[in-house]
Amino acid sequence: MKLSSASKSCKISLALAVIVISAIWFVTHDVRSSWYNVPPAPTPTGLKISALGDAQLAYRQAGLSLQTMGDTGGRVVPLNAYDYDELSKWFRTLYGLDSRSDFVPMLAAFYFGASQDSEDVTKVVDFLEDVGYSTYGEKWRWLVHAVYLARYREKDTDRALELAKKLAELRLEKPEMPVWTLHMAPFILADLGEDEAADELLKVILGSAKDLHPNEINFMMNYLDRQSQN
Amino acid sequence: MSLPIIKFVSLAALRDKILVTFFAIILIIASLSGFFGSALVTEQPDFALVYKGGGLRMAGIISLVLFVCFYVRRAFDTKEVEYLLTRPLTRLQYILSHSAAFALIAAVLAALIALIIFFTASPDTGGWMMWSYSLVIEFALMSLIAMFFALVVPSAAGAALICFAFYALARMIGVLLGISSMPADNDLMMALGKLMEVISIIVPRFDLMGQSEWLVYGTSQTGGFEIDRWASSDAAKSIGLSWFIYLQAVGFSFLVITASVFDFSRKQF
Repeated sequence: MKLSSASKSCKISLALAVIVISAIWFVTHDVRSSWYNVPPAPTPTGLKISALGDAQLAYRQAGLSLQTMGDTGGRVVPLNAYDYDELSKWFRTLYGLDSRSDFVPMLAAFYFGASQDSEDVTKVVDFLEDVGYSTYGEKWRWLVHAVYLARYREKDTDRALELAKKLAELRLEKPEMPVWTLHMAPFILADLGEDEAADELLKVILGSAKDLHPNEINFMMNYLDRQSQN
Repeated sequence: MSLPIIKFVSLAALRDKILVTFFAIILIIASLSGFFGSALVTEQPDFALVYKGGGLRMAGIISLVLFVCFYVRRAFDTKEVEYLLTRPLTRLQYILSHSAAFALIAAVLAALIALIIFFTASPDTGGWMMWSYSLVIEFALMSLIAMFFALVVPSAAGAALICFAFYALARMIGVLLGISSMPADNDLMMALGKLMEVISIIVPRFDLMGQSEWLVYGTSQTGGFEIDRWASSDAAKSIGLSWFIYLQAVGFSFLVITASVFDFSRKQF
């Protein structure tokens, strides 16, 4: 009799519990995490502490956060809604933790650089310019991306020309850089309508560069030839 | 040192299914690392490798600390300690034998992790060797530290929690020392900085061991995030990292074993 009474109260309790959790579900099932824009960038020390002293683990954990930032929980945030000032701090903090990896420059150039707001792109270009000067590996390639973004996304040809000139100067320090890195400045000059200056610059390259591949020479000669016909 | 005791503790580890459980954990962490690594836009193998290395190291430490703490406390609760001490075995031999057994189990777990990393990812070979070597030492030291706390603290859960806190402190000690060496703007901060320096004397530099950076880039190019004390210490630089790790292991093992013997010899049964 006692067992049956206990069993009955147990069933009632179970039914009550099911009703209560169902009520909770009705209230909370459409609650989603909110997006308050890019959170403040952590410090390198803070990141390192969060990964228990392992800088590389901190870099890779924060890298995943940076990539998925905003686009989680069934939500997609348009690029122009991001706070690029704060994003820029994230780029630099992470780059400070690992300046050899290409993950952050790549994410900045190919993902965040796709913003249609030119002011946002300016911040990405500034970051890529800094990365491009790194002496490690082939980081100069990020300076090339900076030139591209400045010219076609930021639509600031003067800035693109300035960066292209810096790229050409960098080749003096790094002769292993390909010759086409010298060509960017003349082509941007031509874009600016300064055809004569562009032609002169190409002629200087033709006359001074020692390790030009025959294809490179043919390409430049052909370009100059077409320019002279116009 | 008593070989039967070492064998006895090793069998206890097998009986507790620590290796089987750890295999299951390895499977879960390796799968999750691969999943998260593949979600990145570039350098997926590097991400998976670092997640795997960091995750398995943490899982290994948790498994080891829980096993050692619960084993030692269980030995007291079941009067196994008292029984063993009735045999021709001194207290010093008891501690030394258990230290050797726990260090052996720790080395097996670390070697297992190192092999999993080597065969399921593509680490830099030189960096992997250094990482594995330091992981074995880190695990062995933590097993001794766990044994000490389990002897001193009468609760297994309490001892395990203290061990986890100590491990976190040991892995962050480089950053904390860096902060304490910054110019302080008030007396309290200066005093706390000095206190941190005193505390750091008895805390091993785990932050200099088992760095995931070695797995990705090797040891020849490390230094992206230098630790002030290490970078500014000519003596440390001159002996090299592998010797530093070895000497640290010898020094701290001696300290922890001596402290364990001291505490155990004063216990009343």
